[in-house]
Amino acid sequence: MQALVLSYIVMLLLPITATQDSTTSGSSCSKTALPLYQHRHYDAAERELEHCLRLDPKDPSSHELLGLVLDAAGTREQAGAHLREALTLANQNADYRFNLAMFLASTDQIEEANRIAQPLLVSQPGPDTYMLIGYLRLRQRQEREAAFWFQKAVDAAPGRANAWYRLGFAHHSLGEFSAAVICYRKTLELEPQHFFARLQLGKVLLLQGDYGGARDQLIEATRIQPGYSAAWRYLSEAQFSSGERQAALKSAREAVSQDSSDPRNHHQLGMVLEKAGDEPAAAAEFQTMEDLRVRMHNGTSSPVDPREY
Amino acid sequence: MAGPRTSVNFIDYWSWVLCLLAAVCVAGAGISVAQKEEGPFIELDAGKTGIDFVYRNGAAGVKEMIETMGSGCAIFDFDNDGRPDLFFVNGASVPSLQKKDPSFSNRLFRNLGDFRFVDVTNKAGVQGKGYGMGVAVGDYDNDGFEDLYVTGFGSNQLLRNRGDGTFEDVTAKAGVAGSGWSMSAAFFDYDRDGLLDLIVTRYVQYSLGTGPYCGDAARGWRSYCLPDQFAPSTLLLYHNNGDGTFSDVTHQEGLDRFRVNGLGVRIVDLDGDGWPDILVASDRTRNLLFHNKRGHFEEIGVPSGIAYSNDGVARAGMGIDAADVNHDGRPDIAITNFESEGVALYMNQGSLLFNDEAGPRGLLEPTFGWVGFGLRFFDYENGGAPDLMMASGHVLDDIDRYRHDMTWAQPIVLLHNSNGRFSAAPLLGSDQEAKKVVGRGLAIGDLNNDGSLDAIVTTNNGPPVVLRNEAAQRGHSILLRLIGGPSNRDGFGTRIEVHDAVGVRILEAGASGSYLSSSDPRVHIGLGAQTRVPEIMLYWPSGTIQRLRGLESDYLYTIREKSGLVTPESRVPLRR
Repeated sequence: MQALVLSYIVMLLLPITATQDSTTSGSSCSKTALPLYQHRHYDAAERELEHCLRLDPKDPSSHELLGLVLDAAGTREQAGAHLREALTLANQNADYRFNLAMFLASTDQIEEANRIAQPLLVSQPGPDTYMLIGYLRLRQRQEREAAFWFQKAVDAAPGRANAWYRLGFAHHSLGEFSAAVICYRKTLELEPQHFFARLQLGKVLLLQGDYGGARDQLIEATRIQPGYSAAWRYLSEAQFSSGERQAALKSAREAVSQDSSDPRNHHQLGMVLEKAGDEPAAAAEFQTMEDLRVRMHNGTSSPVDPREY
Repeated sequence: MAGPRTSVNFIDYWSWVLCLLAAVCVAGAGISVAQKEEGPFIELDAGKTGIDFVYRNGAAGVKEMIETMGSGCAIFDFDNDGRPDLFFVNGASVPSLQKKDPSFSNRLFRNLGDFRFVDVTNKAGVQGKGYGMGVAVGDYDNDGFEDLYVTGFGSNQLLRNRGDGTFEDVTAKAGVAGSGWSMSAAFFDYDRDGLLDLIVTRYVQYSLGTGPYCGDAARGWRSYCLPDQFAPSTLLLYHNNGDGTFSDVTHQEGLDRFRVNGLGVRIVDLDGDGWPDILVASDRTRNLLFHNKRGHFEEIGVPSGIAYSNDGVARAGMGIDAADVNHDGRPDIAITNFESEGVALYMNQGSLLFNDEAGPRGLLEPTFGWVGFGLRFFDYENGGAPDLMMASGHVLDDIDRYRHDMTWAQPIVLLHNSNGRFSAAPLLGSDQEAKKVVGRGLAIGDLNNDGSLDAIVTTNNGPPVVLRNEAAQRGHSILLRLIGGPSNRDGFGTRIEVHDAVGVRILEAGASGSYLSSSDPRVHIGLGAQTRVPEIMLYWPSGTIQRLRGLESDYLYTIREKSGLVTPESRVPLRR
């Protein structure tokens, strides 16, 4: 699950073309494996690339693509080894460097990712690199610097929705809610179906007290990704604050049905029930919430889903 | 081509970062300085005030968590001369936890008037023992002199005020030494028997020298741990037996069923039923609300909505206070939290239900970037509405190693209340530039009896910040000093209803709230342009109801529960 989430982060961060580009200059052997990878035939791609490496153990493009294949297949430790080997064999290859940094970022090896990525600012400056550096800064809780890099990405590629989204996310993390709203709205201009922009815009509008605006964004978010429980939870909060108590109850129930393991969903349902006067039902939800928290080592639910970075 | 372009990028980058950092500094201080906009306070230094206290955390490099959490202060009149005095809690040597070096002594400063203070610590005998944290003030024996309860790591101290300028340590006799790591405390009369009881929050279960290595071991950066590494604690509730002793009723009242990382405590009657409720701010565990049901408690933090954020997340609750922010007759609750969380403002919707409206009411953005500790509602311009001050400072003294845009020292944030909505206001006037400090405790009081409220902010490993209120545009006010009997002599828990041009406002007598600190127990009422208050109703804990009509502004009134009369002798003009 964790691997899936982190792969999703990487997919969000950048278009997959970067990896494709990186292999175009590879050996003819590895080129054979590329379509297999692209069509998610990971086992076949892996067999093909292992064959390539038996023929030429020092072929960086085979190592690189095998790393990407293994990463996609969830064999992350081996993936890292091959991606590292590719860069060792072809240290000047910016694409290999980029992909290794991306891999490290996605596996929470932020410090090393940062070290690997830094030379890209010289060898491959551009929106992809700025996005990567910004992302690493976000993960390092250097939101101010993250905003700087995302702003550069936006300047370099103003039509890229994800750059605007991430700039908004950085502002959001800094408590600069008005700036975040502008960026999220710009994201949605470029890509109306951008789920996370809808979600985050809804969350910021909630914080600003624009409950109706938040509700509208969150309704749209739940339409785009009906399986994402947090969207239902925030929608419930927006609806309740807008005076739509029945709708709020329905949305809170939907949040729980989408993810009953998240204590925050039970909290929201409990609060709606409590405020509706159904104290026994609310108490049951609160008890479930507390039980879940105890199971989570009495800890707190992370306020940020890693997918939302 | 890539090379030069990148080097330009880097120059841009660092210029930009420097600009940003400067902007952050200006913004941080800007809340206080803001382009020559005059703030209401003047910061006074020790040379002027004589308050040469410096809090010492005793840090010796091992990064014991106790070093970063202290400490508090109290504003109270220990000698009944009408001038509020100051008490500061100090740390101790680590790991011995001894105060052998006098620089670790707690300190008591007698107020000589006009912001001049003199150290009377040794004469008063309040140097203290062990590693101190917080302080509560109350006249637990109803003898007319305010006593002190000093919390700390390991054990606490009850210091009885003898009335002759000295205090005696009655901890053992009273049975209130406690154990573990005590933080904030408050005196209050939970069963309304006329005797002040005592509530104490405790933080995590912690032993020196046994904590994990927190920080970045690879780089050798050992840092203070966060509370998640340790088990949470229970509160302590002591019932006053009236014979100089207390009984530990924590278990009896069911408070030991709730284990949290307790920090701030505020006593307030949230539902107007006359029984004081207990609010506890808790660090990364849920905040607690003990509803007082005629002398017994029911914890309702979760269903009330104050336990977590609106999104169900346990935040880093530190300081806590309550006031009727929007004049609807119901006290609302503010809680300071960690950076990127902002202050919470739980608006009281009635029926003991709350909703965090910090964002819509303007509190979130000005407080979002800082680690908040002490906070206190108070009407700094005597306009009739509770404004808010927050002390802030990071818990990691090396936070700048991990986050380039974050510092240990942070601003004192002042927030102005306009019709229930807050906005950042400049702190200092007279061209003073606000310094960032590692803020912890915060207490409010009228230190020079001029009718305007002053502030003391304690700092970790530094001197306190003394802020004299010089607001140029301030309105009129009155101060009420309550003397209870049959209610507790301090009149803590008395509900005050002010009926005037502002409408109907509610206040409550007490000294609790903020973080580790105790504020001036006198009741301050801002009146704006009014020179007379049409009506003030007092609802004493004993059930006594008093009506005060036509009080003239700019006086300190001493109100006795028994007589209730306002005589010429019972009022003293405030030196506006």
